[in-house]
Amino acid sequence: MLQIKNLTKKYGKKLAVDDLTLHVNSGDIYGFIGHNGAGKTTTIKAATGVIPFDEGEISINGISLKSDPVKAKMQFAFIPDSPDLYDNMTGIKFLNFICDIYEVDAVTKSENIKKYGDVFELTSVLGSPISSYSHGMKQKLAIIAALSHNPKLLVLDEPFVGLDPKASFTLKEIMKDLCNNGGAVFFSTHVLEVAEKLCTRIAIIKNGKLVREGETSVVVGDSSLEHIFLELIKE
Amino acid sequence: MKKTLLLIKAAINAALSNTQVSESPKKKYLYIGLYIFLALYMGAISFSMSIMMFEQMAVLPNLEAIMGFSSVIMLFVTSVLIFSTSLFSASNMLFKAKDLEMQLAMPLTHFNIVLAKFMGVYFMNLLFSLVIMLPNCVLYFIYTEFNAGVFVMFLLSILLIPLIPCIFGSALSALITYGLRKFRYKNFLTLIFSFAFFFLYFKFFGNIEGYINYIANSADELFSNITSFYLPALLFSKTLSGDFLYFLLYIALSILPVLLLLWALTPFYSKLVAAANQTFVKSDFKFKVQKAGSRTTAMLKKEISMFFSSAIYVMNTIFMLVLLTGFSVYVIISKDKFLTSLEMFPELGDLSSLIFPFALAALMATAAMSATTASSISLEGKKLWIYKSSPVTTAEIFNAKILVTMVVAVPLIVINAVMYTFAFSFDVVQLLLLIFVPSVAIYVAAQLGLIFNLLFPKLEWKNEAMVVKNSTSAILSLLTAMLIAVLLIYVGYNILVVSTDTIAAASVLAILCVFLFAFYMILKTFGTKKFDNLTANS
Repeated sequence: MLQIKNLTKKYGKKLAVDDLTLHVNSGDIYGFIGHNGAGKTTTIKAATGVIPFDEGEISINGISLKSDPVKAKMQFAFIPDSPDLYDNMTGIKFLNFICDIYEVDAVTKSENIKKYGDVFELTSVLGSPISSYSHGMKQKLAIIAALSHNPKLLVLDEPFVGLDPKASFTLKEIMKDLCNNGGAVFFSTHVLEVAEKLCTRIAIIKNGKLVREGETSVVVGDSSLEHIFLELIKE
Repeated sequence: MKKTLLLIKAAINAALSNTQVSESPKKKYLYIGLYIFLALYMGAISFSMSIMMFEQMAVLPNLEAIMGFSSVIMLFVTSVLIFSTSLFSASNMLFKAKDLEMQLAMPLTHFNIVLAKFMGVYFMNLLFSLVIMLPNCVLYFIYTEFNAGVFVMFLLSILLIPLIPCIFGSALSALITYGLRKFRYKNFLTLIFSFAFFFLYFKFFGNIEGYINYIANSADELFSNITSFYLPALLFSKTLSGDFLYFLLYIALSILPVLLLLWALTPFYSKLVAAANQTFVKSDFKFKVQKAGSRTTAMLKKEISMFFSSAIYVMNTIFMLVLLTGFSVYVIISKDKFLTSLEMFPELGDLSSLIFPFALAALMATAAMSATTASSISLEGKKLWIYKSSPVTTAEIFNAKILVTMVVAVPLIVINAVMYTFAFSFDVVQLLLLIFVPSVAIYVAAQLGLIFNLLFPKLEWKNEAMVVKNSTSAILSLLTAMLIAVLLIYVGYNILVVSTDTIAAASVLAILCVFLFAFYMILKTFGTKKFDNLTANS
């Protein structure tokens, strides 16, 4: 689903991501964890076309992000850690904007917006300007927008930050549903308990380099993810 | 007292940081230079106005008694200007400052906080008082006998002038803020008032000589009217005649209302802060079936929405075109007067034959200054990730941004062209040239704006004024567009001398098409690469 090969990204002289390779397959809920400044957000932003990268190759469902970015981007939806949205728009106008960008037909658009708007309890305020929303409401709106065009791959950066417990639970259920239907999820998180319970595969990044990767049960073994993570970071 | 002084210092620093004086050293000196230039420019206007008034009055009898009229009138003009700017800007500084939440949670009285914020408003308006009144002060003592005591009182009065208009402007701003807290279309109202304010501003400066002549000839009557309803003006005039008691009264009248109004405002301060930061919330949205739209339409709607959501953005881009349209209506209504005025310069020949070239030049030059793109990429700011992660090409993004300019400006161009055609009986070819030449000019200007914004992006900003008004991209884009317009007018004029106005206009259109193609190629190659490498940390 998502193939990242030998990804390298520099900011000036600093190597933010160093020759990173990982694959997210259909059905995977892939957790991406690391310390602050490890390169998680850089990797995710490079994988979604938000920032350019220096070396390597990224493809989504076999479509290269560099050579055919529009077709590649049609395959996934990205939700950043900080939901900076168009404050001057109302929620419904923003959702319409995203759906039209992804060329979603009217029926699917209406069904999905209603469904996810109700599920995240945001429908009643969709007529309000985004500037009036709280951080959590903006996060929910970004999630609804991402789901409204039925993406095959969901890429999220710290998705549970700012979400209330109910919304967090709902998002986890949606992630599982997406994967059970042949899709995949790739997300970064600091919440190791969620990663350990939810993810089928985990990658741990340290100082831009992948230090551990594999099925969750294999990575964690008899220990806990927190223990493994702290050991790896200490080395 | 110490806490109040600390708060005042913080408020003044905040006011300065909004004007970007605290940027990187290179930019800091650039902006300081820019502000010095603006101060000198305003000072020069004040000097010219004052000298014209003094010269007019110098020939009248009873010179000593009436010389003060000019200073009193300038005081009134300064007060009106400060009142107007306070009305627009005080609300932000008093009720929306970023450090307000922190200060309200600290062991500080609300009176201290609001007094400090007000001093920030006063400080920013003190500049107007200084640049307008100091030249007038210098001229006053050139035209009258120098008196050290009156000179000192005059200088101290300049420092007091902003207080009354600031406090009343702030009070009215507070009432408006509270009254409009639930009004959904605040932005639209701000836009209407901004346009009205600038129309009056340009109307005043467009006929300034006439107003100054009127002021000088009716100084007596004006002075009497101003001093009868504006007490500070009366007290100031008495101060100029050397009366120290009136000066003390002037100080008291300037300071006491400030303290009283701030004290009266204090119990409501929290409510006003909440009202100022409230946005319209509609929590009873009923979902309806949505229609599908095209990608192009979606992007254009988004860009138009972004454009009209900011009064500063609108005022700094298409305002000149709106102003020209207003002027065109005036010319059409007063067409006979306009044609008669052309006959006042027989030495210039038959100017009536130049109406079409003049109209075309004016429309083209104004259109060239009205592009909306010079800050459209910067305004994406931290929201750039939306476009970057969406399945849209860079060309589509550029087209959407350029299209906003066209959607907003072309109707105004057409209105002007049709008005001129009916008023001055242009033929069809001239009408089409009046539409196409400025339309292509503004398209070229939009491309240019985009190129400059890609060269000088500013995605990290605190408020829109930083990227719309004070950015390198906006300034360079405007200057270059004006330069191109001037060059085209020069070329057009030279062709006109040896040919017809239609051929001259068609030649200008051809040159614009060359620019259009060149900028299209630049955007397709260099521009696309620049945008693709752009990140929110640029």
